[in-house]
Amino acid sequence: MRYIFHFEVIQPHLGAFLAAGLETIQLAVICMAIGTAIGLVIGALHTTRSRFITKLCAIYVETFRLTPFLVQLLWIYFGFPLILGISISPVVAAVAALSLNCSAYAAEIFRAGIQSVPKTQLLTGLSLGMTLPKVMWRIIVPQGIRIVMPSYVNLMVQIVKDTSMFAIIAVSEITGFTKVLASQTFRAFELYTIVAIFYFCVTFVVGKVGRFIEYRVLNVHKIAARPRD
Amino acid sequence: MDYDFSWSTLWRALQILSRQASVTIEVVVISMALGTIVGLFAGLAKLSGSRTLRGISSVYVQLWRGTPLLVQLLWIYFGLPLVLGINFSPKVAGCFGLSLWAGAYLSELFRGGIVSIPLTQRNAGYTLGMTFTQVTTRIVLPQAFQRILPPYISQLIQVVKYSALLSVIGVFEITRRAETLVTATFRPFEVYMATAMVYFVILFALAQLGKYAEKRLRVNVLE
Repeated sequence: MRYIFHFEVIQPHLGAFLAAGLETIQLAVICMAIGTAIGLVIGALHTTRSRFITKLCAIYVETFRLTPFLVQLLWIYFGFPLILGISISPVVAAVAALSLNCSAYAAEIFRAGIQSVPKTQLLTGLSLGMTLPKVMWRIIVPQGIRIVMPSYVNLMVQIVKDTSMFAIIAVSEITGFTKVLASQTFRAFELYTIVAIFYFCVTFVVGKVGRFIEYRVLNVHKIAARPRD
Repeated sequence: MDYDFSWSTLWRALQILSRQASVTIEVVVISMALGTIVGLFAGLAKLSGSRTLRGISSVYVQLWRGTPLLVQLLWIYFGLPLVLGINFSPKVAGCFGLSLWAGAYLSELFRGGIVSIPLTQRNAGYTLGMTFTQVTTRIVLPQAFQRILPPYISQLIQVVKYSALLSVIGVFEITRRAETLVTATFRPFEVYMATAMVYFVILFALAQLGKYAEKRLRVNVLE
């Protein structure tokens, strides 16, 4: 072990490094938002009674869940421009791929959430004269969201980590930036350590925010003792 | 949409890539086996009386779960050799990285499985004069294994999916082979579609196995 560590190699590039970090966070947030929105729609459709629609949703979800994200990313970035006859920038392809990937997992989580609320509650709401959207919004969602919150937070952490794969199609988020810097400075160990710490901090904060929402905003502990049937 | 889809390329790619699946499977089996050992020890360490062991275990699990596998792989393949002064082959580095990554997730699984076995069973073992090791290996672990089988298979699926990242450090598994095929044929759409199909077949089979394990667990153990 005669290796001399030079963590200060990052210093001249600190500004650019942090900018790339911000890019990572931005991309993750965009993918989370789009993925959640699509996931909500697919998840809700999955609980409908039409067998055709539920089958379609299942195919969508399983296709994205049973193939590696890397392959999806490469397929969208390299394959689709040829099919559509337009060129897609790496960032757009990356966001599209991760949003779709996220939506499949989110759909499954939301479906589980909706189905975890006993059906009698839906019927009770309807028999009291509430409309279906109102029953959903006032009765099903508030209960379902508390059940799915932990898995949803896990998914968000996963999304942050998966943005690192954008580096492979040359998006200059933090991993891509570090890869270039590492090949210029030959300080791979130090730089990847720093980038790992960055990801750890971000995922840590995401996890904590999730916990906060779960316990402080949604007051999960208050309904934890709710009898299940 | 005047793209002429090349069925022959798709077919050829399917043939070539399904042969290459043996490398992916090899890497996954090695990593999962090592990951299970690492995860088991990390999970047991988390439950031990020693504070140091618990601390080491939770630092390992938190760090490895909180960072992307890609960064871990780059760190191991490009970073570690500089510090240690030895070179890893891509496959060794890949298996090493994948094992440690899987181990972190599996340790939580094992811990959960062990905790789910009532303490009374442990105590019953002790009163019969069994030692700690005997109680753990004969009573607790066999039952815990049975309970964690469904999530264990989910983790296996995860490892197969993320083994695609090994292509980045140059392990010649399915995805890396697909990349070379793309440069040879200039047909990324068909080739990556075939890649997704090969993974889908492997993972769909595993997912069915997982469902079966879950059903059996429900029938045999929980009810």
